[in-house]
Amino acid sequence: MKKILILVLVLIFHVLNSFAQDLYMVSKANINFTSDAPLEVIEASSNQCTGVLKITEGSFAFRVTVKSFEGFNSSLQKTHFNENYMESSKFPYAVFEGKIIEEIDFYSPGTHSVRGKGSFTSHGVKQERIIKCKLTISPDKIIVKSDFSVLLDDHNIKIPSVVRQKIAEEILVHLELELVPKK
Amino acid sequence: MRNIYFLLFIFTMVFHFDGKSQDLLSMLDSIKPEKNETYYAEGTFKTIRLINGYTSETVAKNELVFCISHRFGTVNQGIYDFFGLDQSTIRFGFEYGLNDRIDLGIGRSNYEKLYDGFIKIKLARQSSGNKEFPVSITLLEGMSVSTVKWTNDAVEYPLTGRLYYIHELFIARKFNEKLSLQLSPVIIHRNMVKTPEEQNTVGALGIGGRYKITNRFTVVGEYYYLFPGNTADNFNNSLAFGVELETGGHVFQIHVSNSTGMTEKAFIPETLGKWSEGDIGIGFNIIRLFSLNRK
Repeated sequence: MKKILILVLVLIFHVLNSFAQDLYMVSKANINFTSDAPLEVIEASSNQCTGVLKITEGSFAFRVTVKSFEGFNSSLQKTHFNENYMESSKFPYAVFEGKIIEEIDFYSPGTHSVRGKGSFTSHGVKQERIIKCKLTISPDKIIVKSDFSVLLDDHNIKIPSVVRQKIAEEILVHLELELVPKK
Repeated sequence: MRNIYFLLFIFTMVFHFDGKSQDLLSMLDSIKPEKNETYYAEGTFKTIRLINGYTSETVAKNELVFCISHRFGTVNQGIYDFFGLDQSTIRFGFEYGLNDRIDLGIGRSNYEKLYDGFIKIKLARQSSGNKEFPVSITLLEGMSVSTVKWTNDAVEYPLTGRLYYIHELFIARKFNEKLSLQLSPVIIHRNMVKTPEEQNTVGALGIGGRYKITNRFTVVGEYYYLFPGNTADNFNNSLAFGVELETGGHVFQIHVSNSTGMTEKAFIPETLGKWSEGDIGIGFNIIRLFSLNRK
């Protein structure tokens, strides 16, 4: 009976342990975007990103707080970004969740170019997207780097004609995330 | 024994399966951010002015606001004066942000050829998150000087007699994305008044607010209640309604009001127009923001 009890405990421990081991959480993040329009270039960045990657199945979910973007060319621009365009009180997060298409070995160090397939939500509008990124796996962490673009029209963000020359229709996003195993 | 192993196997599988089916996104909700951020309410009002008076907003660091205002004559003058549009009182002014909480302003109005200057300090900011505070509080300390020529040689009118002081507090709250309200207790001190009966120091309480119809179009209202006294007996409370349209760095405000002045000294204790008698005039403010930040 004692043997069984030990076995059970070992098994539970093993299960819990493996369960924790296959989750990686975002520990550091830098997300910035650029709007490169004929009359004005606008840049802003945020480090307020939470996210989780499950390496056993390559599934992930990342979330950025829209209000946390800083930068811009004036404080009024930031207010307009939150109030008029992103409506960040109504839609506080931008979210990307899905699965990595390629099957890669997360246990051996190396660099991989992969594609994440899933739903990207911004301004409350969900879009199915495939986003390319580069994963650098080392024993204690995973670095994710990606460049992609977001079309304002895809997410129902309307630009009034008077500022059309100042805001790009396509916003370029650059992100770097560092993920560490969940403790 | 074999049965137990089998049960354990099932148990392990179930456990594992449970783990797999867990929604990753809902997991994110349970994560507490390491440093809890504080979010300050932004854009309680579209700009520094509500109608005749100011708002709790100050100009951000290294930004300059240019404001040009007109107040036309009263509409009850009829077609001869084109409903007041033949006469106009103007003020133009600049406001510059020293930092994100303090700004300086100057202005000139043709009403009594008045020059005005003021400092606005954001004492507290409405915030949510780590630090929570329900309202924004801004202090305005201002002074104005009337420079009209004095023609009555019998009475001395020294420079000190031409000075006016304004102390005003704006207590504002952004209730939601659409509605913001502010209370503004104000004290105006006039070094010299026309008759001994008139009060040198006048107190009033302003109440104002905005409601956003769309992201760029707002309706606004403003009322200044004069505390009982000689001034309240002989003058009227200032009441104004208007709309605001915002386009990028511009805010256009068009309104109707029973006041013709655009400085506190002028519209709070010296409003003669009566809404009930149609002494209301059309007015507008055009406000342009310039960013002086080097990019």
